[in-house]
Amino acid sequence: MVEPIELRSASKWYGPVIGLNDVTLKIKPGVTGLLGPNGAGKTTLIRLVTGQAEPSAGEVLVYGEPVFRKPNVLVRLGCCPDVEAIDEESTGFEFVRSYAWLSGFSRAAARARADALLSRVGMSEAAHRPIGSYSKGMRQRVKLAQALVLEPDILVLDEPLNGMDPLARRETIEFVRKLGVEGKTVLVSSHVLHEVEAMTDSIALMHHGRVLAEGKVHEIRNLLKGYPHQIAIESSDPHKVARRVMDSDHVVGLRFEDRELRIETRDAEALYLAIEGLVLDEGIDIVRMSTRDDSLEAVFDYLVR
Amino acid sequence: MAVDGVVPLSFLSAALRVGALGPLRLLRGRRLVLVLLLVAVPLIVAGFAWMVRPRVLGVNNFVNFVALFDLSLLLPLVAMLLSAGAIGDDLENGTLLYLRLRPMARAAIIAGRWLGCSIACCVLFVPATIGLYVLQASARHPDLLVDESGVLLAACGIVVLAILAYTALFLVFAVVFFRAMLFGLFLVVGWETAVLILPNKAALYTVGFHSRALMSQATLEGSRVHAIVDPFREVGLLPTVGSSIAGLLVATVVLVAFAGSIFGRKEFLATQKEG
Repeated sequence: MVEPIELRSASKWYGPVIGLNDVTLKIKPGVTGLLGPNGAGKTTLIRLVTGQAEPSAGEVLVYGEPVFRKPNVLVRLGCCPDVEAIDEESTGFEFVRSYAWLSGFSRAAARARADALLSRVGMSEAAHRPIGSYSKGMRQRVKLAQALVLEPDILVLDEPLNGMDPLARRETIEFVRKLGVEGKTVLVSSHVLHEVEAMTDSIALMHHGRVLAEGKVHEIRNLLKGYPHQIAIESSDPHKVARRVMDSDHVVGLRFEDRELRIETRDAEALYLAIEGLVLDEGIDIVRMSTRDDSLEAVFDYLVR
Repeated sequence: MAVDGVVPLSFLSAALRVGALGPLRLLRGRRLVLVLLLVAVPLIVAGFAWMVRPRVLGVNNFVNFVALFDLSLLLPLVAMLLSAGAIGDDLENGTLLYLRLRPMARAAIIAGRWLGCSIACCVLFVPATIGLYVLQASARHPDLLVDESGVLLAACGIVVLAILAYTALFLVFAVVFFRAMLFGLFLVVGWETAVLILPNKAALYTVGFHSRALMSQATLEGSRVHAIVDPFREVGLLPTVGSSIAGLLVATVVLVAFAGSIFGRKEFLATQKEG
């Protein structure tokens, strides 16, 4: 099966600077978060995927075709770049209408399309104001609208939540999730972990131009055998729980915090089984149980630091 | 294609659409004031002469003005400001990135930009040339307005040819050089003027020489443009009308294609050009 986006040993050098280093990656339909600190290579990867740059080595394929200098591939791909520059004198409506027209719509259809898309991203009211008067979040939404002009199968969003107010942020997150559910391939880059976490649990972690890990967050976490899982348990009798699990080989640490017992284990599944036994055999009530380091932030910390 | 009824644009329609957006975009903002001032210089000078010494005006003087003001300096300067500035502006305001994300051939973007710049220049210079002719020819003998209208037609044609070639040339500068305006300025006030000082073959490779040669051949004896071109005529280096027109047209096509080819391969960063 042809993947929507595929990088095969792709590298990109800017003179002596390595932007992307031998990256092999497949992006499947659904939302994928591209995560990494500033300078990790996320924007370089996006420039390669959207055909704005040619790989120095390797291949970058969109639906099995190299994307650089292949404008036809761009029919299936929309991009919301993380570029501040935008034509300040145009109105949001003119901006989206122009790019709809340049994408092949007739003048009348481009107008209708701009209206529909601006309404979809919640910008109908401000559509006829100059972009120069927009807040950063409003600009982001207008940029998102132009990316959707052709209802692309692939949507590439570079830091799409930058500058958005909390309401717009929540709406955009919902919007992106919905696109993923509809079967679109959405690649979202961000250096803010919880933003990506709110959109998807499928991620690619980048650092120094390399992809350190890819897949579901908890799958990646499970592969990090060297780092014990931290599991917090709030129960009717935390001391009894502690006594019961402390002799297990996989448990490497115990700590009480308020009414919570924090357990460090090398095998989360084994611990869950043991807790299950406790509930059945001893009749202990478990109020709440949560993993403390299955979060993106924890995974990222383990991989990068 | 995920949206019904939308067909990917052919090269020509993409270029036409990019071109149609160009003139309006170029002829607004602060640059417009400078460009209008430059275009108005011959009209202001002629208007002043009309008030002070109307005897100096006439069709010959119209030819001199077109050749010496417009073709030698103002037209290339305006073409440079619009076309060399076009890519820089596009880069600065993000338009270039959004254009390059459209499903169209990159060369079509350049062809469109060339078309847009050429239309913008024509919109400025053709009416200005007509205005200059009316002012000059009507100063002494209003009958000349009609009698010598062939000169006006020739002048307008030459102005259009020069615009097409200069905008193409400066688009090449825009996609090749980071400081396109600086190189453009050197070409206009340096190289193109220098090669006219002595008869030499290098002049044959300049837009300025061919446009002035055409002007001298299409107009009356005794104009100053004859004085510039005559040394070339004497040593047999004056091209024929046909070869000058063909030369300018071929140069235009080659330059636009060259700019398109470089633009297609070149990667642009958001805030700077990258080799």
